[in-house]
Amino acid sequence: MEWNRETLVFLSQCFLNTLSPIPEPRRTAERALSDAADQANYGLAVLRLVAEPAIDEQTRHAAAVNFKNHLRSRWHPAGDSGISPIVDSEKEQIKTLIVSLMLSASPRIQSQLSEALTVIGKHDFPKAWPALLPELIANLQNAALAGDYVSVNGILGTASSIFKKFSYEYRTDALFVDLKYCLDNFAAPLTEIFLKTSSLIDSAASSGGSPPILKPLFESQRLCCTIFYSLNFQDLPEFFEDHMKEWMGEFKKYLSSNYPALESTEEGLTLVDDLRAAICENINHYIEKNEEEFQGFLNEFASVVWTLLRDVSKSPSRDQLATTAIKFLTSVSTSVHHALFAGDNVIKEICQSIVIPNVSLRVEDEEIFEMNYIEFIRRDMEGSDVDTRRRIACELLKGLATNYKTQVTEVVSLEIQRLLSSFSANPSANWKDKDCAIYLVVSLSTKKAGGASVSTDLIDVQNFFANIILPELQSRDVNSFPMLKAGSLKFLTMFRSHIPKPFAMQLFPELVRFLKAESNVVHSYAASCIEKLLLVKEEGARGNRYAAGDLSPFLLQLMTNLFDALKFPESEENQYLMKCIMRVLGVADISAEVAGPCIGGLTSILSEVCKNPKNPIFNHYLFESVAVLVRRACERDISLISAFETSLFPSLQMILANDITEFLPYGFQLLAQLVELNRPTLSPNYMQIFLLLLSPESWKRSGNVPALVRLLQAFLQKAPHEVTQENRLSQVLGIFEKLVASPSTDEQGFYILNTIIENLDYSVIAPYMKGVWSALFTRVQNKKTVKFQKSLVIFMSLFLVKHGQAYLVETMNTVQPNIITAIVEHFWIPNLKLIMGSMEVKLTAVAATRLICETPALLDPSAAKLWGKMLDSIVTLVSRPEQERVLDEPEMPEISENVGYTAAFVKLHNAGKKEEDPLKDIKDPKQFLVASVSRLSSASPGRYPQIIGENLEQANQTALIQLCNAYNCGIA
Amino acid sequence: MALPNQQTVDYPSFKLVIVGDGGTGKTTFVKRHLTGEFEKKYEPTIGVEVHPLDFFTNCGKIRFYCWDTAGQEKFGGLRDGYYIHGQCAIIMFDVTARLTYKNVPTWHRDLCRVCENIPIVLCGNKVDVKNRQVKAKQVTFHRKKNLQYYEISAKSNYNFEKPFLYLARKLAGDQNLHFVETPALAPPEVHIDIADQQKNEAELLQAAAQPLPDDDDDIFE
Repeated sequence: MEWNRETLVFLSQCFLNTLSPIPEPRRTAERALSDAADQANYGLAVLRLVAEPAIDEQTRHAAAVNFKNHLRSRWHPAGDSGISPIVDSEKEQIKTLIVSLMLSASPRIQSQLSEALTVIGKHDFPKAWPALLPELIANLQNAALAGDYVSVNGILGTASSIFKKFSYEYRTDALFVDLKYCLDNFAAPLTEIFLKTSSLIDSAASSGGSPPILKPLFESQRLCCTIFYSLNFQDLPEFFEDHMKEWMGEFKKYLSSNYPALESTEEGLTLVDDLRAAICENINHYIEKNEEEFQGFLNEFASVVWTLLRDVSKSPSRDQLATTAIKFLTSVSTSVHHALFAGDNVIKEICQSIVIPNVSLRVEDEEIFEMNYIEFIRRDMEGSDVDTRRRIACELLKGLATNYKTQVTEVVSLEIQRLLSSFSANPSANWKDKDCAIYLVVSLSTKKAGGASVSTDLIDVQNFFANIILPELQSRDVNSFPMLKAGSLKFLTMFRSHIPKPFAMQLFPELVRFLKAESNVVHSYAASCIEKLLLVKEEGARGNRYAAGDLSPFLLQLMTNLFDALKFPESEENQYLMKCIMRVLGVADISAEVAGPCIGGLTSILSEVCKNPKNPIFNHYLFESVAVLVRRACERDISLISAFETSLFPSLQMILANDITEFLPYGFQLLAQLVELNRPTLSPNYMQIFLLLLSPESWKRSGNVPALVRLLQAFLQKAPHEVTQENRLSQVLGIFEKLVASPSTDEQGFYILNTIIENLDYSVIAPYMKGVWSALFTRVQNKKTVKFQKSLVIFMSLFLVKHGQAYLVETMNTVQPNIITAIVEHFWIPNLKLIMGSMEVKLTAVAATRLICETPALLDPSAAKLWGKMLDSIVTLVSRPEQERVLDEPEMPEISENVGYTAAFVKLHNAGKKEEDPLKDIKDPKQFLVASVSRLSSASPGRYPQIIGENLEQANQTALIQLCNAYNCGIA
Repeated sequence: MALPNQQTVDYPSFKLVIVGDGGTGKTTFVKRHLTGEFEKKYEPTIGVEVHPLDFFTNCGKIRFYCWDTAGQEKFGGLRDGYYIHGQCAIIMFDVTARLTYKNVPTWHRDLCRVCENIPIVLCGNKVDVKNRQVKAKQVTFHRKKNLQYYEISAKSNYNFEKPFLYLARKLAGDQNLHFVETPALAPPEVHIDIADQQKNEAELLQAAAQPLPDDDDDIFE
């Protein structure tokens, strides 16, 4: 592409058209540009257009952005991208032109060109662009001489982005070579310009310099500070160690001086504060990494930062500076130089002039409280307040308390008293003081390790509660001073285990009342508080402090208010309210009187959310609430089931019929629960669903599988006869085969198989057993995982105890003659000792005992070794604790990256399956073992002690003798 | 401003730039307004699409010209070239894909280089999905940069109007401005055919995303 009049017109028209909101001219221009970009010297032409003064600014701005993007994609394109790189001769010309063009450009264009330069620098600097740094430095010095701060700042901005890599890349030799080159060349000019600018600021400030003069100077100093940070990040360079005094002197000056000409406007203040914040970053870095060299300056900095913070803390804005400056003081307070804070009244001063003002509510907090309640709760209750002023200020107190706990406690307690008396003097004007006091108590309380219980030395909890918090909670008007109400509810929630039960019992009705507060935060906190109170454990005793009877007097009112609160604007899907409903239903006495309105309320919400599932957490608690209501109400009165079915079926049908993906797993789990609660002879409604269950379509989505398995199990258990008619069992086994073939679903396949074995007659399953074994052995051959082998051992055990060893051996051997001995040797014996869970251990121990005592193939003398090894495994299983037997599972589950809208399975805790013990008659597997072996050995005396001596580990022989003694049996 | 073929209306209008990684739901989001419907199939945006969206406030009608930009690198077109004259912006990420949040600072930087000091909203999309990877409390970028943050679900219209309301208030300089009519949104989509994006079976192993009902500690940190 040649640079001429025609090119200029063409490019400028294209760039102008790219700004059009109308598709046609814009797309045509885009296409034309993208075609042109393939031509040599396109980049150069665009760069020249950027520099063409006759062209209007917006066109040149568009061209500058395009130039930068052209460089991004074509300066050093990836080898396989198919994009042709800019040719070397063009690159050289661009490198020659860019610095001077950037320096003469307007700020917006300058920042694009500076970025373009950084793009080149990333690949070429310094080795392939040795001219850059000298050129920048020469220009910097010229611009400084000329007092041209547009150029100075352009150069510093560019240097800052080129050097940025030193502050985040890993220490490598290559990085250090580059760093040294930059330090050798740039450290001195940087210091020079920093000091020169500083003196310009001083003279301008003293002569009442105007903002237009001062602004670029401050911007310049900020850029110098960011470069200082990058160059100092890895190690303290010798140059800066030698010139620390100059730099620190200037740093201190900006932290301690005021610049009224600038600071009188918000924009100007931000500019000065940005410089101060950048300085705080630097001194923070020095105290953390170069403490020894820096310690001489520490005192002075601590004192200027503190003084500065007194001012900053009063201001509603200035967040950035406030947080970085407070962090600096926190670093000092926890360092070895903490003695700075030991002086009389220092902590008090800090508390009063820094901490309290930063903790006090500001307009922004009130705005969020009203406008974005979820965000408020996240910050206030859920720990999402990192880097907020309130949190940082409390961190400072905690930092101080590491060395001065007593003083801090004393000072803060007094401050709390002061705030509270200020509130009492004029509650409606000074309500924020009370909020501040409550906030301090809550934020500075410490959590006991491992528990939900918190403690504080600042106040006496019960006194504070009675005098400060209770009046708020007893206030008749639930809508007055909502932030104070929220704070009080938060306090109660936090210190819930400290509140004696009789006291709390009086509070419950108040909490119920606050569910009617209009403020979303307040009714959410009231719900959350009730919910958490119901979880409080009685100290020392098992069980919860509050039981069904405690809720009874106001249960109806509580449920009414909870459901009513869900009608407040923006609380229609309030997860705190729904979680509270779930918790209450899990604790309260569910009479028919309560169950009726609750199922009505929940199903109407359910049919509403089915139209448009939005908030997954709310929906989860909704389904849990339904499940817990059904479970607990039916435990008390099973006749309620039909009423529940009538209420729930329309929603469940809607979920199935409309294929509401995210609710299907929940729907199947609720159905399983209902099936299990039914008496035999399921209604035709259920049988229709059973047929749906067998269709392969239903199983296609992985999120449904565990829920479908759960439902299938319920059918097999409750209606074994109906579900096995008309060749349906082979369909069910088809599902089993599919699931068991893959390591990620084999567990689910075994659930089905085990339920079949447990609930169906042998005559029904016998014809299918050959197929079942083939499926299992095929899987063992294809992919043998420990988890699968353990499941296999459990299944074989279950089969054996249900239907006897004879059928087990017989059906297995139909696959291949005498496969049983191979299976015992290679799978049963090694995996038996890995079984976990008390029910599973009992089952497998008893089954294995029966196997060796009853199976002819194993009792045959030729199988003596196998017999002995199996006994060895059984003894390991029953005599050693789990952690000694079971090594960490080496297999890691494969976790897939989930992207996009996919429904995942989430278990409903309240619709869970009850595990049934298949061996209720046998209490103690150890006793069963020794009694069985003893009986066996007495039939052929002398034979077994020898086998035991040859095949059991020494430790297991000892264990076996101990067991024999314990149960008074002998092995003859 | 001398834009060629500038569409004009006789009420205030603003250029709104929507940026963020590919697949985060920018197009779905703008299309929910008025005529759009939930996009079941993902079709990457090429370059940019401009949609005029009208809102009715207590101070009258306003229009956002939404410049819905391509998130995917290879379809990026002019990229930040589309930001020029932007008066406000939305940066979108996907709470189910961590990388899209990690890239937010880059989008923000490119945006601010072209448009200084414009009001910006950060939106975490797809909060209707259970297995989210970016938890709400991990989202802190907006604090440092003074952006507003909203969690949205383009699929279910959840919080649809919040970002627009915030921007309208900032642009009008009126904290009390409010929408007087709910914009006619496309009906939320509940039928999604995910059969074609069958996920790895390993998903089954996914730990339950929700705390069990007996968690006593989840509120306080």
